[in-house]
Amino acid sequence: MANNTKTVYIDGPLNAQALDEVQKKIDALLVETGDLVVLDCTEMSYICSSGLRIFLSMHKDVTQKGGKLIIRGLQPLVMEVFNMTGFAHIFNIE
Amino acid sequence: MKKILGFKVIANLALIVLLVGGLVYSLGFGICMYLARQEVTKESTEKVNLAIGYIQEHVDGQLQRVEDVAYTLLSNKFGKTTRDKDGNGFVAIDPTKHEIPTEDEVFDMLEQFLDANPQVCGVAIGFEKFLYTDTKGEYGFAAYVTNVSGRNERLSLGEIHDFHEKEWYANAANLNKPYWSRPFRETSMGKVVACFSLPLHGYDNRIIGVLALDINTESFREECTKATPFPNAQVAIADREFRFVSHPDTTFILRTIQETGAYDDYEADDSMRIKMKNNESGQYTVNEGSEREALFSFAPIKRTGWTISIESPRNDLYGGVERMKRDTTFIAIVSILIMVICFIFFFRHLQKVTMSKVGMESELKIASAIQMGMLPKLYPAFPDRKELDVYGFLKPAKSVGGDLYDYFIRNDKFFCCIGDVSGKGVPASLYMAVVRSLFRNVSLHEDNPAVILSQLNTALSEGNNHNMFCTMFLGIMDLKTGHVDFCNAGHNAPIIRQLKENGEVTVRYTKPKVNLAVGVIPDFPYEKEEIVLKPGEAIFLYTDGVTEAENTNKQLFGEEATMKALLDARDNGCKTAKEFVDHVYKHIQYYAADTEQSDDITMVVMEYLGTERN
Repeated sequence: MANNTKTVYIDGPLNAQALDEVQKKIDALLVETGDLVVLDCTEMSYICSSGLRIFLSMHKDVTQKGGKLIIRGLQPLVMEVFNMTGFAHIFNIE
Repeated sequence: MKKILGFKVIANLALIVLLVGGLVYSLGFGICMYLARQEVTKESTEKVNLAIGYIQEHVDGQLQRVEDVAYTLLSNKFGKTTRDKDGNGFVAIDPTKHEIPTEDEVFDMLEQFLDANPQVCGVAIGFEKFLYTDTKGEYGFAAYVTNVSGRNERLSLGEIHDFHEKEWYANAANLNKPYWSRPFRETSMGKVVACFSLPLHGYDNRIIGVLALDINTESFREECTKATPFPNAQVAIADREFRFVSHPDTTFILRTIQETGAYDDYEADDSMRIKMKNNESGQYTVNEGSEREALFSFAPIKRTGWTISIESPRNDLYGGVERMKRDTTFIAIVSILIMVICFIFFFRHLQKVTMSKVGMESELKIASAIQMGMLPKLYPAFPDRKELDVYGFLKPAKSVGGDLYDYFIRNDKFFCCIGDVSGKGVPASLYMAVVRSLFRNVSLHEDNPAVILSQLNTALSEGNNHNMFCTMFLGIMDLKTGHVDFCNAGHNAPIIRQLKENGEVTVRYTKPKVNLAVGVIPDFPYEKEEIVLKPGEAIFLYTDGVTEAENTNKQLFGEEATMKALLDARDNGCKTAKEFVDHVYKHIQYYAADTEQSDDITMVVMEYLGTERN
């Protein structure tokens, strides 16, 4: 069983303009069974609701494959969004 | 769906494309052809000149060698050669050193010479009558040896005819210089020969005889064939009287240009004839316009006064250009046709796309109207309910959006929700419609906001392949008491406008418990909260389109500004819920200025008015 750590770095605001690119990057990641996927959001200044949707899809995908998705380095303003929407409840946030 | 452009218009445009394409092509093609033709003409001329040069050199070389061996023969056997400044020469016999050879010796000598000089096919030497007085011949002595099929044949001409009258003897003797006679058919050999005669002098400069060498003109034809510059070019040599000495068509030999009709223009063009006669070079286009049109070039062989002519058929010269013209025309026509076809297809496609886009836009308009129709629009919303003043506002960023609000009254309870679906546009709007109808259905038989949202969540989470979700705030107000049960599913915290005991207005954010947005995962435990509104107090619900409205510097409107807008609303004479909402929207508009609205803006104000006024 593969047990790799794959890290995705997201720079800048994850807004409507950045959605397609991020989606492509994440699609290209090819998550395998048991993978540990880290979304490094240290440089992510904003996240729109569609961005949350991408995170959610990924979370479900990774979890289904027996792996784990970790979101790392959320900036305070972004963290607020996670708190408000309740997503902080379901994501593994470091 | 309306047709935007008819077939006629496309046909006209295609015609324009065709014409413009054709014109551009023709122009470019014309220039190319002109340049190619010029280049070909130049090259052809060079090629023809090279061929002429080759023939001049080789034919003249052969003639020269014949002349040389003639001199050599005479000086070896008879005496010393003298040449004048023009190269004309004669041989003088010195009787003190040379004896007149006997007839047999003359024949032997000629035979030896013939064997040693294969380029000469016949040799004759004739003498004045006084020299060989005891010869058998009636007309004096002339020895003639020819090579017929490898065997030498001797002929004593004096026994046959008076050779002194013949051109080869008479002209050399009379002119007293070397002489090339007109080519003739030598009957014994069956060959057309050119004959070089050289006079023989006695010591007192009297003519005592003439030497004549025959050269087979067949070898000239070989040189001409070798030099032929184009496959169908005709290289010929004509003598001083324009009789062909060499011509690819052997039936032309010894016939004149006029007789053979070789060049239609030969008779017509005096300047050409004069030039040829004067042993000049020239180049003409002959048989112009006819099938036989050709470039006719000529140059002299000065030694004999002959003319080399090369007739290069137009097809040989410009055949390549013509073929290129034909091929490129074909290619051009095909490519222009392809272009037109592509154009028509492209245009059709464009038309379809445009039409479908127009169609989509009108469909979006309808969708937008349907969506807006789902929202409660009337104001006052409940004219017969004095306990409540409520106003909802939704301004989508695109035609359709993912924000929603809804409210209704059931059993003296006011159900009110606001929501924001993830994403924008048509997908969000579809989801929003589902959320809105689920809310209506579930709320018909349920009073607990947490239960309502749980059921919504369960329904939405099922088969939610695209992981859409919706943040929602749901409040249920008891119109008799102002008691509000609410549940916040990941939505922006509402702002509450409260009255202090002294009547002063305060505005504050609520700090609701954080529940997960609906549609994310099933079985999330939603929790209910409560708040009591006194008459005159209100809840302000909004979506993030309000707080995240951007100004030209990409800065967000923010929560502070929202609060401030609410606070100063009353000072600005706002009394009703609608006036409050409009006031906040004015703030947002002012802040955003010309910036394009990036997200749906939704606001709901619900103010409890109490039961006392009833």
